[in-house]
Amino acid sequence: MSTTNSTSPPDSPLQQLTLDDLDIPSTEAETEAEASGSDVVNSIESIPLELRLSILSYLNIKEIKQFSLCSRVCRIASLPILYRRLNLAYVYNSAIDRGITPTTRLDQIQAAFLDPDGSLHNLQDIVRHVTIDTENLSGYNNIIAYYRGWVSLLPLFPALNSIKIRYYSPSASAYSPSLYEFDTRLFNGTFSRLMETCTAYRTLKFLHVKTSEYRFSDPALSSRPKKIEPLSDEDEVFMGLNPGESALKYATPDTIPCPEALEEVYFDIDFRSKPRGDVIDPMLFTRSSANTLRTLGVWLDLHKDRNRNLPLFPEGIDLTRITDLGLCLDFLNVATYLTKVGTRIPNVVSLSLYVDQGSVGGFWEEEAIKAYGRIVSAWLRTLKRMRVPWFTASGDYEGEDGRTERVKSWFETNELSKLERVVLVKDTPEEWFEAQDCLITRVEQAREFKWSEVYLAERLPLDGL
Amino acid sequence: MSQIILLSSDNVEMKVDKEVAERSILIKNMLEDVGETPDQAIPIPNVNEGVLRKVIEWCEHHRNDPPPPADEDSDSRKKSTDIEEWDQKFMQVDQEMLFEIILAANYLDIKPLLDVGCKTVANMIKGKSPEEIRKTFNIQNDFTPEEEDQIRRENEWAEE
Repeated sequence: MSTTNSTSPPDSPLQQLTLDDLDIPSTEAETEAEASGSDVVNSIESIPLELRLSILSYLNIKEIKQFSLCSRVCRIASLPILYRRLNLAYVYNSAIDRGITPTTRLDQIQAAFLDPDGSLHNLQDIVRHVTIDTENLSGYNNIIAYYRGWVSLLPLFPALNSIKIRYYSPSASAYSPSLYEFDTRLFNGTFSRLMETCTAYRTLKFLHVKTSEYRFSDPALSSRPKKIEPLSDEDEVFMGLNPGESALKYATPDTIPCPEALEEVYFDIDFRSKPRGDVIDPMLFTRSSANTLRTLGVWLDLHKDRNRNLPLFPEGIDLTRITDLGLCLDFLNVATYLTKVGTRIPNVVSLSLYVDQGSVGGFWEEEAIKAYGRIVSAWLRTLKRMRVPWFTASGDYEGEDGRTERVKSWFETNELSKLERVVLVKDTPEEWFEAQDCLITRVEQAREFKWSEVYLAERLPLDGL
Repeated sequence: MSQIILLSSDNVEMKVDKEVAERSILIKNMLEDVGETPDQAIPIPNVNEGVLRKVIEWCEHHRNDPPPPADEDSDSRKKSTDIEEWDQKFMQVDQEMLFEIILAANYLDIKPLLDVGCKTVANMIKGKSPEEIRKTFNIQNDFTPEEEDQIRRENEWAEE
């Protein structure tokens, strides 16, 4: 019988443990303890670290945070799990809710990781994901400054493979003509900087972009005259503006550098009040990842402006390897775009549809619903799994507005009732599915309006089908 | 049915079916190395009589279980803490015994039992405040209030 004493690397706490990884408790110590008559009381603090990690692998991050506050031993066990995924928000709503003074600053995070006696010293290697979030920041100059700061932090994490970018996008014209094409500039600054400084840029697998309309939440915009703060020189460079000049010097959307090995990409982008020139096709970021990209989630919100002619899904981008597709039913809301999606992404195996609650009311009167039916039925050839949207997010199926009948006939017309593997939300009736042995999974918690987060969470049961 | 003898750390011999003992990968590999069923008792130096009896009880009940799936997605944060009813009852023991069972399952390499033990402890942590967790496990708070504040702040950097 051979036993190996080895230390398992701190960056793989979730790996199932094998015997070789474990410290076999020293028998001598126990014998000594018995001989001296003292009790060896085993507890959560005395068992080997690897076993504490196994226990924590059954808890979610929220629960592990509570555990990490109990004692030093608990804290140390929690660190490698807690800091796999960082959320670098300027101010946390959750923190305010919990009565914590939100004082997160770039220098604090940097110090925690880099100072020899920093609380997260030597843990840079475990970080796999970073969310950059400028939530609650007011003023475009602040947004840019903080955003650039977070981006400058990313080279710290060599094993980074996932980035989520979330910001409230100032409608450029609302601030200043010099910030037209805010999104283009921000992405150009971000990806150029990452390409130059961050080794993980080459291996980035996962990109999630979520923007929200900013116009209505910024006090700087409601004041008259509008408060336009100047950008620092560094921020001007980051945004492709020459310091001191108003001339626009930046890459065009299709020359923005983009990662080369993306596997999963989610775009949840709000274009509602953007002027025409301000809209960037996020699919451009996938153009170098044709060989690796498998999963795409996309919702581009144009609100009511349905006749905008957008250069989406340009021909030069190969999307044929995508097999997992998530769409929010308000997706452009234009039949011609849907047809384009169908021809450009022809090999969909797993389709997840979501309904935007804001648009569901009038949705069934639209021509668009027919287009959705047509496009889904065109995919039936390759389709193996489908998440059926929660059509009644704003009511139930018992309503008297005839919605049930319309949804049902939509299913029948497009042969969706013959699907064999479906994921249903809450009260969606099973009887609609005629296929023999139709395998049905149900998700209870439906937050259709947060679809891009939900899609991520729901991929697991989908894969299980 | 061939039987083997296990010898606990406090020198108590226990006769068990080979099939039951082989739920322990440690014992199974050892028996394979030896090549034949040994006549002598196999010493289990880290496990005392009471714990060893408990572990054997579990192995008896689960003697016909199929082997666990080989490669679980270790990165998944969606592990279930569901425990089947018999195992739940089995794990209704005092805390010291619970951790003894976990240590023994770990030492003897009985992964499904280790999983049940870890899940049981995880369920005791779920939904509790730090103070409640300390009370449950008799943990001494060795943080100053300032340190606790700092940890709360730094915990906000971890994405939920």
